[in-house]
Amino acid sequence: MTRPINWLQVGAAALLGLVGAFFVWHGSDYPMGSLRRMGPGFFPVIVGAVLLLFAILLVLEVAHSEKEKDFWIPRPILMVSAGFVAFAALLERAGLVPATLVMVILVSLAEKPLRPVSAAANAVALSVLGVVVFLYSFGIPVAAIHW
Amino acid sequence: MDILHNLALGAGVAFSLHGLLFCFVGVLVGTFVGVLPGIGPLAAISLALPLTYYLSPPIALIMLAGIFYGAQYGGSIAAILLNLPGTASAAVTCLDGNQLTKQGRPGVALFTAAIASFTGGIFALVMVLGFTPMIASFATDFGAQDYFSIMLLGLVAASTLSVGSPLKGMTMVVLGIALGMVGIDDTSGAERFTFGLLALSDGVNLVALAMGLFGVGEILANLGQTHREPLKTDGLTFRSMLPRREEWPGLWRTILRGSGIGAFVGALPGSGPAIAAFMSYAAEKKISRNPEAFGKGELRGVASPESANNAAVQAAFIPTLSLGIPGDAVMAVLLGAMILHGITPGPMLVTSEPEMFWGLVVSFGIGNFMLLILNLPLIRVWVRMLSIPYHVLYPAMLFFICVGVYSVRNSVFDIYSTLIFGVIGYFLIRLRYPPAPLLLGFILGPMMEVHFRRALLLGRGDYTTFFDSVPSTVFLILSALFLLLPLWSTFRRRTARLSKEGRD
Repeated sequence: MTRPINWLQVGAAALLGLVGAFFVWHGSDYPMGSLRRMGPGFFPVIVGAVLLLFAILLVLEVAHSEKEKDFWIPRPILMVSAGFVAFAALLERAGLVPATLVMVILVSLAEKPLRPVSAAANAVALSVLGVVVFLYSFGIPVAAIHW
Repeated sequence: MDILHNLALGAGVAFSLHGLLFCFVGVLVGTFVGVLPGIGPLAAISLALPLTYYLSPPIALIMLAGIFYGAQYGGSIAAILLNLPGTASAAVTCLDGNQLTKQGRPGVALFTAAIASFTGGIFALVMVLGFTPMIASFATDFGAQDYFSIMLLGLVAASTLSVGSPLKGMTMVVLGIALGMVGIDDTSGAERFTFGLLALSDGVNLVALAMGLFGVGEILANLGQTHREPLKTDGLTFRSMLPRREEWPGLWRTILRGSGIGAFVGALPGSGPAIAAFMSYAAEKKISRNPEAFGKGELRGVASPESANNAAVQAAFIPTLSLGIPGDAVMAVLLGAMILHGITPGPMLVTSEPEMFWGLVVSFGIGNFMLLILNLPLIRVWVRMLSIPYHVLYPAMLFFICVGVYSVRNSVFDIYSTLIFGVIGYFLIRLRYPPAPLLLGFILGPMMEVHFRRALLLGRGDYTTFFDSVPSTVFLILSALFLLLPLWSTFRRRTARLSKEGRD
């Protein structure tokens, strides 16, 4: 009755192990010091080693675990990422209003069905709110719109 | 009377215009996110973190705490009406609460939940008042080794007591500690794991991490899911909300028991409101004369977990404020907020920041009264909130995350890091890794490193220094027990299964 090996979970655990190994490897570049007077490298090496150990135990634990449903749904991730990148890129160059409009429209595309009217209304409302709250009340140092 | 003087000092803060206003904002936002399934108090608190930079520390804390306990009130509404827990701790409330709705008595369930939450809150408030200064004065003698050990205990308890795999929880804690090491090392001034990026020399930004994991990550996970149908609400009048007269006496005892269990469990490091609610429900079912009524619309099955989870939320402030040890991830974020405001958490907090401690305690009382008013006469407003469609809500939340994280230190870099942590958080949720212990490790990690190094420096490099003091020894033994317990139970389960398979 054993389930087939769950490669996704094993891969995730292996990735965590790699992070642990990286901390051991990179941490040992910093001075280790002695037990009495520890250098900055001591703790990272210990923590990295513990992480590596846990990752190995995890591989054993999850090897035959139940398969994940809906693991990879690309649309939300892609559209939300696009929205964030656009916001970050536009905020200081074009101003808060264009950044907000583009971002809200983009992330609204993450979900089916598309609702163009509602997305546009949402974008406009949030731009107004953003300008009032963050520009006028909190005074973040960006322009509403760069001409 | 010392305590009266202190309470007057606290009242001065909590009853100030700012205190009242932001307490109200906190409980309002808390109820709002509690009502809406899919956003928890953690996401809301991380969202509100940037705003607190514009407030004085006591006011900021009052608001953030209000979000936390407000969410417990709100969480029960969605649980009772829709069978969807608005917060994790309301999951137990679904069992009987939704049954009552199906039997046509939603109002009674909502009323009971509000009264139970209120009583639990007030009960825990008295506990916070009594125990925090006591524990704090006991802890003033704590040395570095005691701090290290109790933090270890908190982390181990938080990761092994959480739902799901204890090993995954502990791995997340260690990953969090590792993330916490990025930036300039406090003791030696060396830059670690910054990859030459100037933006990382202050370390990973707490706000970006919390908003990414709990805001963006949760939204991404919700977006791929199937949708719920809108709710039809019919006449909820105040009269229809009152329980029958014969139900009252038993109810009070249940609420008091739930409050007691909740306050006790909540005060332990590592166990949050969800565990408190679950334990209280189980205990109530066990001592009940007719346990088979539970799960079929028993009013006490609503009162018990609701009083426990709200009591637990406020009791969780006891270790946070007296020792500087957060019990769960929400407390860790609050602790992080204090550190950002330049306040050193620890046993000195009660005496060095009296306005903050006493102001917060008094605000608990005010906040609970506000919530009672918000939840009883205004219940229909919240019920209507449940019909806000998600496609309007989530772009707004993502926008506030973006502009909020930017406003912390006007850094575009933080927007990108929020996105990266969001995607990581999404995969963690999908792979059933709990993200909350990661945050706990991230906040406690740097403190642990400092205490670890200091303890060994004072102990002349000898590891036995951790067993030289009584508190430290006790904490270490408890940590070892918490570590071994899940291992032992998996082992037993496995051998039981193997022997069963052998027989078949």
